[in-house]
Amino acid sequence: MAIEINNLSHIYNKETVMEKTAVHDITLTIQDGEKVGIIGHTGSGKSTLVQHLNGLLKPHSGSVTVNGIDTKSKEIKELRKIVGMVFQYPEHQLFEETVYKDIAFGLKKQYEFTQEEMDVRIRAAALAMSISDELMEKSPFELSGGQKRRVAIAGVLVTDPRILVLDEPTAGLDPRGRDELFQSLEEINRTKNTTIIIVSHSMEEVAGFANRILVMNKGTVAMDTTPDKAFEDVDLLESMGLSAPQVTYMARAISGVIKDFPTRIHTVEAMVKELMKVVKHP
Amino acid sequence: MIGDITLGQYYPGNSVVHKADPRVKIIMSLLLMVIVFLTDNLLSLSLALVFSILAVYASKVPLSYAFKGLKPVMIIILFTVVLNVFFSDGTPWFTIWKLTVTYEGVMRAIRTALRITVLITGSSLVTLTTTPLLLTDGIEKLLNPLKKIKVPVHEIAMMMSIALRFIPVLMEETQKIIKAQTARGADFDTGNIFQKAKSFIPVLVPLFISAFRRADDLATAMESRCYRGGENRTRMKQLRMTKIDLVVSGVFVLGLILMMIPDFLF
Ligand SMILES: Nc1ncnc2c1ncn2[C@@H]1O[C@H](COP(=O)(O)OP(=O)(O)O)[C@@H](O)[C@H]1O
Ligand SMILES: [Mg+2]
Repeated sequence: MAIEINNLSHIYNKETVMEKTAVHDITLTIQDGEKVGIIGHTGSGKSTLVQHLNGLLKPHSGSVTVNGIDTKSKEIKELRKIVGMVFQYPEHQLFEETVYKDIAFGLKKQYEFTQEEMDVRIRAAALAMSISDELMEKSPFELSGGQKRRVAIAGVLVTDPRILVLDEPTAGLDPRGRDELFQSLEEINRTKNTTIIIVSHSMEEVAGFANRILVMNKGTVAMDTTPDKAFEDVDLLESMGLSAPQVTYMARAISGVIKDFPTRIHTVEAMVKELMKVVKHP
Repeated sequence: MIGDITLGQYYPGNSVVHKADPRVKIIMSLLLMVIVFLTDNLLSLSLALVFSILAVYASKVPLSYAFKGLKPVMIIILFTVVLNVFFSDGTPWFTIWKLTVTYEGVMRAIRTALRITVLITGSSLVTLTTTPLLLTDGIEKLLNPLKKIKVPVHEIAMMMSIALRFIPVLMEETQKIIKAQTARGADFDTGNIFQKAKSFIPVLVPLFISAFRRADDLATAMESRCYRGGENRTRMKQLRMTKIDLVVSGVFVLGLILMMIPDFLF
């Protein structure tokens, strides 16, 4: 029960002048319950890679297998139940008259539940995304940007996918919306052991959330490690158009002044903890 | 599916056809169309097809790509072919079941199919080898004389260039939304025609909303840059005829004359 990617390559506009190899010879395995952060420069192939996980894109060579289902096989419906995918700006996919109906859409399409069963699941998904009851009967187009985003994500969560993929879910969200989203994802991962794969631009976000980081560069996986290791080689990251979290740079600067100050700090919480130690025992 | 529409999509390249002046290309393709519609001669029509294929070849656009534009009209072609073959008066050729196939009918079917093919290939070639900006520039220049009789030529050209500009954008958007709804379990391929049409609501609603949002944004952007129509506007790139245009026109006119010869002879 895992995601297995073997020698995956994907080429857009094959055999035309616009031909573009977006993903090249990627091999990796993702286990159940992992929290994976995928980072990389714009155009490095992150979106292309994740769209292979539920068979929206098919490999031009190599293979992708999710829980034993090859994405090229006929069991594509089964696959889509297992893998929930939240696209960039998911609020652009809202279309129903009410929030409630929009969240229900995927559930109706993929399962045949009774009205009561559906209602339970819809309310659970809404709760997971902190959508209050009074919003449920409103038109999704009346909501604020952050609320729309949460409704759209709830529309994916409602089918209870074992694997949840989010492509830059925080783009355009305010800090509070971002924190709330990560709290919800954390909660889902903890209570249901859902695998969460998150594509992001922000090192801070990924460092705080993921326990494994894939760094993509020019269509390949350049690094596949823990946040600790990934942010160690800042020069390498910078050569790929990325950077480490700001507190990591700060930790380095401090270690130049205070001996033995740890440099492997990637979150504000960790920084606070280390600084408190120094302040308490100078 | 959606990606099959080639009309209005530029295929980058560096060929003679790409470099030719848009006015030349537009006029030549119009002439080609006129001839194809005027002539009834099978040889002329075949020559026209050969000529358009040669033109595609010269443009270095893959033939399969240029012919993609035919896919959506395939049904129309088939329909007219079937109608013509079975329901034309004339000398009976042979009979299938109760339907009599006439010699004239078959000929008419072939002619119609050839005509539509040349028509689509010719016009797609213009849009495939000309950027939308140059294309509307060319059209504006060609329509300029109509300004005298108060036709809003510049506005028409502007609307066209906006429309052309947004075809690929909306197409990309459509694909994104289709992907997103497919990921949620939407199914666009099964069911009867009504179910299929209904299954597109989750795509059409977001698409319309985003189209209006884009239109609104564009209007704001144009207004904040003081856009006020064609009066006194100058262009960054002036259209200029070059030697290439002479050569292209020469070759084309020669081809057109060649096409007309069988028409006069027989
Ligand atoms: N639908 C598409 N058609 C053609 N090229 C594409 C398409 N989607 C992405 N690409 C190209 O593939 C490369 C990788 O894109 P993408 O996977 O979207 O990168 P990322 O998500 O990391 O920004 C880019 O060079 C992009 O231009
Ligand atoms: Mg992307």
